[in-house]
Amino acid sequence: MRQLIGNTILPKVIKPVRYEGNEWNSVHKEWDSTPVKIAFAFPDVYEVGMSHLGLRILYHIVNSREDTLMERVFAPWVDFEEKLREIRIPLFSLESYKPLTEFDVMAFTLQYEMSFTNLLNILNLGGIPLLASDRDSRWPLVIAGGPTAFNPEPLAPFIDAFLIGEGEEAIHEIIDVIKKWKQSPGGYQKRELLTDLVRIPGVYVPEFYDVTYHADGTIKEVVPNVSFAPAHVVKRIVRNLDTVDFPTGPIVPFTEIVHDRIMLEVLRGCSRGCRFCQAGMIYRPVREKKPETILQQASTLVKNTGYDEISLTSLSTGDYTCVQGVLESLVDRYGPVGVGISLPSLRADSFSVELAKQVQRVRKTTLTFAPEAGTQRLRDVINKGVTEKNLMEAVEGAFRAGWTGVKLYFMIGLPTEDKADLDGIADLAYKVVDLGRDILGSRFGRLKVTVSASSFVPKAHTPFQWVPQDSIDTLKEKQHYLARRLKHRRIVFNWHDARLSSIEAVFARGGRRVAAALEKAWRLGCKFDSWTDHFKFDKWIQAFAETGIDPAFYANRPFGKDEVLPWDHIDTGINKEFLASEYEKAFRGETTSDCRYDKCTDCGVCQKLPAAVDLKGGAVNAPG
Amino acid sequence: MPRARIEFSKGDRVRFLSHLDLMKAMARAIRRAEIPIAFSEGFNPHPKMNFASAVAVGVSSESEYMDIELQHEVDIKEIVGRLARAMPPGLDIKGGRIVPDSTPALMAEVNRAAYHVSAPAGEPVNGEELSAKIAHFLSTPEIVIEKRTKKGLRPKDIRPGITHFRGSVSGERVGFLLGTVLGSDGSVRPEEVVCAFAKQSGLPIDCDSLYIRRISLYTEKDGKQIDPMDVN
Repeated sequence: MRQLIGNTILPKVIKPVRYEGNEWNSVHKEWDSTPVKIAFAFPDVYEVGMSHLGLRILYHIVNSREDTLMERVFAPWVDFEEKLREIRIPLFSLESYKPLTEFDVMAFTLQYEMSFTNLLNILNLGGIPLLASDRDSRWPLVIAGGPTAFNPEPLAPFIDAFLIGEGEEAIHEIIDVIKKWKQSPGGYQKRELLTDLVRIPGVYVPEFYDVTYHADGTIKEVVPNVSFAPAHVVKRIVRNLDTVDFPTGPIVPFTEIVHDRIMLEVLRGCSRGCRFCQAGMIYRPVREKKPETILQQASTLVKNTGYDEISLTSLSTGDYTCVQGVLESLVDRYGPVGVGISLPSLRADSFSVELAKQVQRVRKTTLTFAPEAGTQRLRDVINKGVTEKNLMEAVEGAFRAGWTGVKLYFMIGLPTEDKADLDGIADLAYKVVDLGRDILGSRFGRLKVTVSASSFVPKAHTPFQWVPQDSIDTLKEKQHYLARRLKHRRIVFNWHDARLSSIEAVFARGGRRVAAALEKAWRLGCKFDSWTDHFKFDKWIQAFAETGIDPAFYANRPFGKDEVLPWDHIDTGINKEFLASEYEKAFRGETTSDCRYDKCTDCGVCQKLPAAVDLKGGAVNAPG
Repeated sequence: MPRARIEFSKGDRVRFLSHLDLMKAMARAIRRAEIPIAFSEGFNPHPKMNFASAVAVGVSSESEYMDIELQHEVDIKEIVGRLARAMPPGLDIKGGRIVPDSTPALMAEVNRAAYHVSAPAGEPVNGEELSAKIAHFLSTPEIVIEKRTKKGLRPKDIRPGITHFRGSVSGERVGFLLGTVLGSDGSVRPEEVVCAFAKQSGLPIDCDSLYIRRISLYTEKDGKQIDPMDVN
């Protein structure tokens, strides 16, 4: 098989190394003697999928078990797919080039809604029926997890079981159940397996839940149709990041991937409380690693991978209570041997710029900040605790330290946004330009201020889950207005396709009914939707029309406060009352502080889940 | 600073690596092997390693060479052993030695490459006819091909770049042994030669599906052939 692909397909596709599968630290187990076989599928190309830490973690954990093997599958690029279909070869795993149908489990990670068509395409390329109801126990069990699984409903007809929350511990329980049934002498029915799986906390089996609707299309209720399925599926969470298994021998790809470096997670969760941010809600509470754990893992990672860069990853690494000490130790230790340290995300404050100065090895030209909104009023609405003063101090620090480029991330279409807020974005950009003129002097000619405006997409489990998205036309108007205002030699303005954001919103807030449109869109040829060249808006509109789905019902309608939301049976640990109160506060322009620096906000997570805020630094940094 | 010269192979399963991929794989293997390689000065220190030649994507190779500069003297057996254990599957260390300071850089020295090229034939090819056509091909004073460059298609005479060229038939495939000039002046690629031959001879050779393996790299100097590991 490998030889056939190597001789007939690989010489004729771009980036053939994507399909090589023998990278350093990849795990190749004895196929026949390993009882449980899992294919981990990332529904995008290799370079994107391999940059995902969750894959690395689960690959390591599962392959540490003697009784189980996990191999990788990515969405093949369109040229490769064409060849596969031409010579009628089903999609295979990278490690052993085995067809997907030979695996016991297909496990998908869901990182963004616009990868859903790729998920269907992977199933189809593997020769696996799309609908869970068309698959009996002879087919691989199709499971899914990841942040986007927190609203699992748009994929409910296709997926047998979802794991909600963190997978490090739950995956073992899932494998144990699968192994038990697989080894049962008389064979088994898929329903028996699912019945066992749904007893595992965090596992959601869509077929055990019935959804009923009101005449207006809103949901009446979502209730279990069996006695053994929980009314609410509570997310899984890892209590202690120091003791949980972390991969210290990750795969080192041959070809350059998006994040081509050691990814060392320093903390999980973020309690800054930005009201649009799903990650900030679903990964609570904040749990940090001890500095000793990080230093120990860094040392093993460098030895095992040979990478020359360590990225300290998290949702907001500047918030790590031990960040300074850890950075100093790492820079002292690895600087002399040519290993650099990098910080993926920076807050817009001078403290963060100090950190960036500390680690910069290559004089990078650009620093990125995310003020998200153009005025203090709107930043208070979204609870982005960054002031103009913070930002200007950060930019000044950056210019003084030698950076000549600044990237500013904003969102447009946020609730209550008006013209003044758009003007605020432009004003901030010009203030940065002015500051650059004052400080950079003769180097002003090198100044580049990149303003990037994405469109707000309301997400499940956030305070803004009830908020309608602006219509495509409104978003476009706003983009054009900003483009006019930001015409300046030193400013580059980027924006995202509003049509794509609107479809993202449909699946971010859609229920089970939108699944039909998804399947139709895939049948009409949609895939790689998040790749500009492949996004086919007209096909999506056709798919909605043909399946009788009104996209505006999901994207542009304010959801009622008493409405049953499609994801209400999925429990992040946060009380719905907390989200509602945050929503109310947003419209009053009131902010909520971070529980790491101030009192408990009563979001409910620490009360409901077997985990607590776990900070390792004692006295914490001043709030940004 | 002492310099180690390493000979390695790029196996079949990693033949789709680009030269950049290969360089990165080597740098990472050297780091894993904890070899005290020297770094360039400056903001962004680079490990000091140099290769004899780039191997193209899709081409495997029996012998490639790289020089690595060391911070201090290390037993070459130690380097070779540690490196061998740190290599990704498909890239294998074949040997190594410490070379004198005066040894020229690999790139400046190595000027010849030999390849084995195998191509599927659409219809059976007669061995004698093949030999005759190759002889005719080589007797052509100028073999001009269209070479794709950044400035568009440019004519290029590849004849001076061919040092030897032989063919044989094996079942439904045709195999070639091919020697070419390597280096900035007039180097030619094996697929250029085989495709030009297929075109000129009219033989049913599918030059879109070539399987190319580099057999050796060496230095041709004063009529002598010198192996890169055989320097004084």
